[in-house]
Amino acid sequence: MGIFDFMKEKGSAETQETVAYPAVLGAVSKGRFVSMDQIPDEVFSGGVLGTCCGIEPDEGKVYAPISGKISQIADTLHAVGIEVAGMELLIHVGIDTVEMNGKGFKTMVKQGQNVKKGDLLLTMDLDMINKAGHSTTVVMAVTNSDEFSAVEGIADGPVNVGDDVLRVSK
Amino acid sequence: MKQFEFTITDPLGIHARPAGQLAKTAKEYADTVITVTKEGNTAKASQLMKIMSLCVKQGDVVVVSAEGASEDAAIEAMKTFFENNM
Repeated sequence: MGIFDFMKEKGSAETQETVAYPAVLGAVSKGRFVSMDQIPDEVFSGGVLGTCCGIEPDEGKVYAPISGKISQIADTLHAVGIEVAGMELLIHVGIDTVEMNGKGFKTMVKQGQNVKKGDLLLTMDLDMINKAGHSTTVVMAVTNSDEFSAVEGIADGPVNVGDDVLRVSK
Repeated sequence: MKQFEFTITDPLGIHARPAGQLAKTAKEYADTVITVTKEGNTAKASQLMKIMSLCVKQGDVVVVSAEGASEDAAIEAMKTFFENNM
């Protein structure tokens, strides 16, 4: 919530969302918060994709962590990019799920579309991911985190969709 | 400017993991602009999301370029990266 909210309502589809920093990103799924260092993959835990956090999901649904624009959707449907006011986010569903080649994933949004925080982005079949031997952990990474002074995990334990999980400071 | 052409052999193409590793490698050459071009679309190697947006698949041909003070070292590092990972 910020003083520019009224502009978002009036703005056309081309209007860039504005963000007041420090910005807070919401949980993309209902589940258990996983801090960056506990994500079971060194590419994520080592910050190669930027500072991130994870959610071990209870349900196979992934929601927008903030209002912004869908910058890309992987052909394999397991990863979605969101861009907002200089912040680049990658939501990566499961670990090594690129190998599933889109099976078990369904996307609700299109590239270039504006979304509101809490909009359903995609669904995933948790059983199918588990059976394929992959972790279902949903990772949210600020891929340009080196352009910010701090990106910090601010949750612990169980979280609901939209609960504050990452704080991004200029 | 230095550049080379590379045909992607990895069955999964340039997805999140290799894109992240590519960006990390490219950022080690801050004084040099490294780009990847596929079918006329160019992205800076250091920009992870832009690289992923190129949707590079197995069999695609990309041109990797480096321009700047460390272009010799950077292009060698890129060759090594693509040969080992892509």
